[in-house]
Amino acid sequence: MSAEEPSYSETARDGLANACLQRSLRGLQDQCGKGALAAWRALPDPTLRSRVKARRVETLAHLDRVLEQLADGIRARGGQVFFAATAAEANSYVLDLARRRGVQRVVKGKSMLSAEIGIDAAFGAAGIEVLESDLGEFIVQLAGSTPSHIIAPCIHMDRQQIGRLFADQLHIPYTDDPPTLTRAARKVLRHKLLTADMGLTGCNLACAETGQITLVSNEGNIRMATTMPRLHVALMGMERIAATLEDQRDLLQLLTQGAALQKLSTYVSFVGGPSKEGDPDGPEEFHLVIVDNGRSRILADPEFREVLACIRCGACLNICPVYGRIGGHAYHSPYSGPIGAVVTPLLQGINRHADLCRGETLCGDCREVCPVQIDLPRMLVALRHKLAYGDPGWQVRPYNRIEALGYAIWWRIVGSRRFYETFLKICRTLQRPFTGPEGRVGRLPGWGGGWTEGRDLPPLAPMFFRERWRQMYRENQTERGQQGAEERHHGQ
Amino acid sequence: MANNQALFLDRIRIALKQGSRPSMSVATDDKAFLQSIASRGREEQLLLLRQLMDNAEPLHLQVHGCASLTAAGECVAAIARECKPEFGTCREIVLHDHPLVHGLQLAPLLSVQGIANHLTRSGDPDVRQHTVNASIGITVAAWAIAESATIVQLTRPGQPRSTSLVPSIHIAVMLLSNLVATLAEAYALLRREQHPDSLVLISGPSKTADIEHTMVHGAHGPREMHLIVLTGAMVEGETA
Repeated sequence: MSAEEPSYSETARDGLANACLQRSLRGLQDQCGKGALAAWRALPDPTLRSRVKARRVETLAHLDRVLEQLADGIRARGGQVFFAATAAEANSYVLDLARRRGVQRVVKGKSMLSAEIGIDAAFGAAGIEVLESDLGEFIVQLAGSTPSHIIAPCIHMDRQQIGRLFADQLHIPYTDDPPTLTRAARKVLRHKLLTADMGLTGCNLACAETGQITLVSNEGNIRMATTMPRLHVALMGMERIAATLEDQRDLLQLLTQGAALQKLSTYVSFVGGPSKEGDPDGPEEFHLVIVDNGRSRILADPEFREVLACIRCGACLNICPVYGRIGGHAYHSPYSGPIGAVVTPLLQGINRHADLCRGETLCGDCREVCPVQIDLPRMLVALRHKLAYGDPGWQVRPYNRIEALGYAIWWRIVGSRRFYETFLKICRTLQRPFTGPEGRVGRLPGWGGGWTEGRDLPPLAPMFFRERWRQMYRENQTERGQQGAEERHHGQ
Repeated sequence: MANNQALFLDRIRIALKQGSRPSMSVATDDKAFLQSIASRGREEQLLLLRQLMDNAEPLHLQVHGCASLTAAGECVAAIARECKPEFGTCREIVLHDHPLVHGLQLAPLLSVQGIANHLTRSGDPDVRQHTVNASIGITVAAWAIAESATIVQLTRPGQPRSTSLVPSIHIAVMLLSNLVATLAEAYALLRREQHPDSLVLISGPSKTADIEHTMVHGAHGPREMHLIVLTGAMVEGETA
């Protein structure tokens, strides 16, 4: 996050004020989020998710071996494999390849990793045209914005905005009819897809056993990008791998169900190398770039290793009450929602993205909906712990020493009955000037203002429960004694 | 570059902090799957076809059961008659170079309508241009999966990937006996074929819901898809 970028709270506020985003998010969450939960409940084999999860964790524990097997398999098919330790290494490999092959136009199929490593800027600096081919990403790119959802990138825009954008940028007559808009984009992109020199995709799941990567899409843009240009480069996060075809099958089905309630997405492509002798089409070269960029550090920490089991289906975005209000832009990362709140700080700096784990509610819905049952709330708490106390291993400085001091004092207060009651009595007096005519505390001064900015607080009661209890106990003691005698009499 | 790989994998080994590990257990049920495919009778295959049709409907995949190759040829001709070119004006069709497609005897049916047809012959440098010009692509599916209404399209000489992708309409043809029940069964077949280099699973026409969650068919791939299943017992003998 650069200094001039708006903060988490500022962007979140913009998201809350965006009526179109609010409408779309509600629709998305009602349909996909709840739908995924229902799908898991209806699974014929209720142990499927936990079995797949265990297998995923086992694969991570053998990651060096399965990656080696994958690389050997791809090379045996005539493809090339490059292991990139950092974003810079990955970018320079791809850029160098593009330069050597005289690439002028690159078409991308949705890849969050490409955004993570910032490859667009590298291409731009080299004067190479880069075009997003997924319809949502294309719209977002035309608008000069960034995606706000893993699988629905332009969820923050409505059809009127897209219509005006297309009228401006694609010079078509204004329309807000989705089929007409889609056809307009189809025409523009078809030309670009057929004339591009390089297709750049991500990798949904690699399979070590077969020596292939698999890519899913509904639009067919990924198939275009992997079939028509003479070069195909796939960027793969090093954890996105299944050991066997059976593992790939289970993960694939959980992925498409979790993402969009589909048994399978429209297209599932298996790609392992360039086109063969006698194949009339397909790319002349296939390059797989396997990227670490901070992942081995996550792998090394048992507390966070589990997050590498993620298959990026986006189900947690579709259920999260926080994402469901503020939208994806506030996360300032290609990875938004609960998964973004864990993985972004781990990849890009815990202090730098301190707001993310603090913004989530820990309600636990993301854990329930996750196809591989990743315990995101546990890791959100672990991140908060690191922010509160610092962690040299992850280079975390305590986030806010004044807050820490505040909590230390609070700990003393609530630890003693006498201190606590005295504290409440002081507050009861202090709250009077801030209590509005309708009996609510509407505005606290200073840093307390944050508490009342978006809501009114109920005031402290004029008499606390314990005070009332003491009083009533005294009043009723004698009466109760008589009543007890009566009840005993009735019982006989 | 090999050095790069060694360093990369070393970093992972250090992260895992493990010396010797038991290798991952691998269990396959391929035998059972292949057996259940082989033991399926015609009645059961027709039941699978019914299931496929039910699952195809919400995906906008149109399934046609045809008893003979002649009927299948007429089915293709009828689709071609209704088709208006989407990009440009020429009426062309590309077809996979496969015995099953040859058996459809499409040339006379299409030339009557003034439609040019081109086989995707291996080594033909014009295949790409023909495919871009064509409004219909006809392929032969290796298998189809009933549970998800999915076809498995293998890339082979004479059977390029773009035939099922670039034209506005995709028609896949297959034999009833190549219908399987589940993805697991299809994967058992893939393993038996020793994992072909390139393949794609296709479940219906291309689609997008990126604009306000409104479903639109024909995003980048075909806007319309048909699957012709040859059900006649005679057909199997003719092409075997």
